[in-house]
Amino acid sequence: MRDAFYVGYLRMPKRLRAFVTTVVVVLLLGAGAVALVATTQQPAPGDGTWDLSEKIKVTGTLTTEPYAMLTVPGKPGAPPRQFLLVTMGKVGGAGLDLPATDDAVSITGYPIARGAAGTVLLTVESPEDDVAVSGKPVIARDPVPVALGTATLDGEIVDPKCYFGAMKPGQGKVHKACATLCIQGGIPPMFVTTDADGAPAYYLLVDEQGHGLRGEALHALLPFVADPVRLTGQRERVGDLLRLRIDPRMIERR
Amino acid sequence: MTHAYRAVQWNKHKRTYDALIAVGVVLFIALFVVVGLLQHEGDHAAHPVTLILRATSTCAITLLTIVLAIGPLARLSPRFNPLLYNRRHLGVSTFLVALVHGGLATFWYHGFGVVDPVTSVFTTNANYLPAEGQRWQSWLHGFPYQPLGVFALIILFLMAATSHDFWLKNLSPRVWKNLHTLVYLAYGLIVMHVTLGFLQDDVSVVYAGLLGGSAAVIVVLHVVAGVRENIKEGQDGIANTEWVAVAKIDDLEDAHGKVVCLKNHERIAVFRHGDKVSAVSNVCAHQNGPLGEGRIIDGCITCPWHGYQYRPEDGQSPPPYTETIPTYRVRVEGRDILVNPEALPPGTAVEPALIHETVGEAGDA
Repeated sequence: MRDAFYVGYLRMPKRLRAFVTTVVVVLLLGAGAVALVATTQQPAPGDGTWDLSEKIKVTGTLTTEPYAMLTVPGKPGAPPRQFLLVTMGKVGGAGLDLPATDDAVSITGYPIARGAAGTVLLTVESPEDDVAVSGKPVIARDPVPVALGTATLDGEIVDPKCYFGAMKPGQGKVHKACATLCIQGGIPPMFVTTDADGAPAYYLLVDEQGHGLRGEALHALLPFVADPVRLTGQRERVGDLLRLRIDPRMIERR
Repeated sequence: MTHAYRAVQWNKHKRTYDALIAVGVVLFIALFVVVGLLQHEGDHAAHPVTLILRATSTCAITLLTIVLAIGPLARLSPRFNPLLYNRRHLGVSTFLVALVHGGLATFWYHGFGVVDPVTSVFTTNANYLPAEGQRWQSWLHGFPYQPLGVFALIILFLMAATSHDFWLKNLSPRVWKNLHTLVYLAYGLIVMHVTLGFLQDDVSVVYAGLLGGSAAVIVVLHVVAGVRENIKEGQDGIANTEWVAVAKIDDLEDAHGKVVCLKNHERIAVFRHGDKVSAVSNVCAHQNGPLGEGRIIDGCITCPWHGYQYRPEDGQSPPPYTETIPTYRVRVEGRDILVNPEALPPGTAVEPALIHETVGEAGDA
């Protein structure tokens, strides 16, 4: 006599079929509930964008110190704007082999922008096609740094390419390795903190002399990328960007 | 059974089982990604790759939880055996979903950089040891969680790659079983991977709750099943004297078996088939399934896990199959079934004890 005993290669007994069907339905509904709960609990990744549908063209002055940037005149009464230049991959503007020129340069690239900060980076796909020396004289001088005093700030060191829109989210523990690789590849390190009003504040990190972090200084910084840290340094405004002069050996974990 | 190897010995149940896995996995990932895209719209939406990474990780953990729950559930009630029957396909599916997650994460977070992506997984975050004066909470927060996932994926790969009966036969059931017990290590590594990775970010406690719930289900089911088996074992534990009474004839339905545990933890399956009684090892030669919980079908003891069959009189699978299990001498005295606890070599013929001769005399046939 066959009772509710199951053998895979024989017909399943009716009594057992009802039970198994119930279990399968419960499992599928349970899995669906897990998917639904897990996906709706995801934190908002911010309003950054990396618009790969259309390139924008920006003309300004090319600088490589502290990092590869294009400085363009600001609107009347506003400071000059500075665009960080990066490649399509995890490599900074230094990898673009940009021309050394005092002439105005036009760069065509995909913009990376986030909320009120607007477009902060340009991603250059091909230096040959997207970078053109105009032959016209410089249209925007290097902005003069304005010292804002020493400060100790809590926040996170991020790579601005991912943070401002390439990754979504481009911060935190899961993104730590990616951010570290980006900064190791020459994308300028940026410090994300909050200002006195609780609004996000972004500082480009440079060494105590105002130079870009490279070599040993960069390697001292890398282990702290994406971790909760406390930085102490000289704040300054250069164009529309804030900078923080730090000694990477003095970074504290929180 | 192992007469000739095929990639998969398909039957209706396996096809249904696999179709349900495929539909379940596709629906799970689609639901996660689509709802995730709708949740934060426009510029606030998470990147689709991020959503796929999260969907595949959640799906793989859900699958693994089910895989690990099926074993104890089947020990608690044979009604769960249909889920156990094709569990290896569920395991292979778990590996494939986890592989998509691991491969995509390596490509996405470690690709396009100045370091080889695979090398980067192990070296880009090198905070394996705490820095001087670093608090342990801070160290754990920054600990490289990716290698934990890689090691778990390697274990899942080894299990998936050796899931076929070809490997079971050639590695020997013992080695195969030990290898596949590593799934618990893989699960532990995955729990650590998530705890030291995603859960370190500023995310909802719901995720810790889901992961803790998964672990709780697995631990509780294993403990309950283990305790129940230990209790049964304690009740059944019979001294290994020369002949031991293991059951009453009236306790055994026709075509049914009974598991008897000796003091040395050896288990014997005693079966009644018509007016005969036979005793064999309780351990199936295929995957150590509990034969005593099986039935006699077409004259053969049939394992409840995968349907492997053995003749009760000699512990041999019917031709052309070749599996053999140890047999035991058995006799009937009055209403008692007695077994000699000395196991005979696998496949040894033993004359079944006849019930009618003795019980009939007692007027009980």
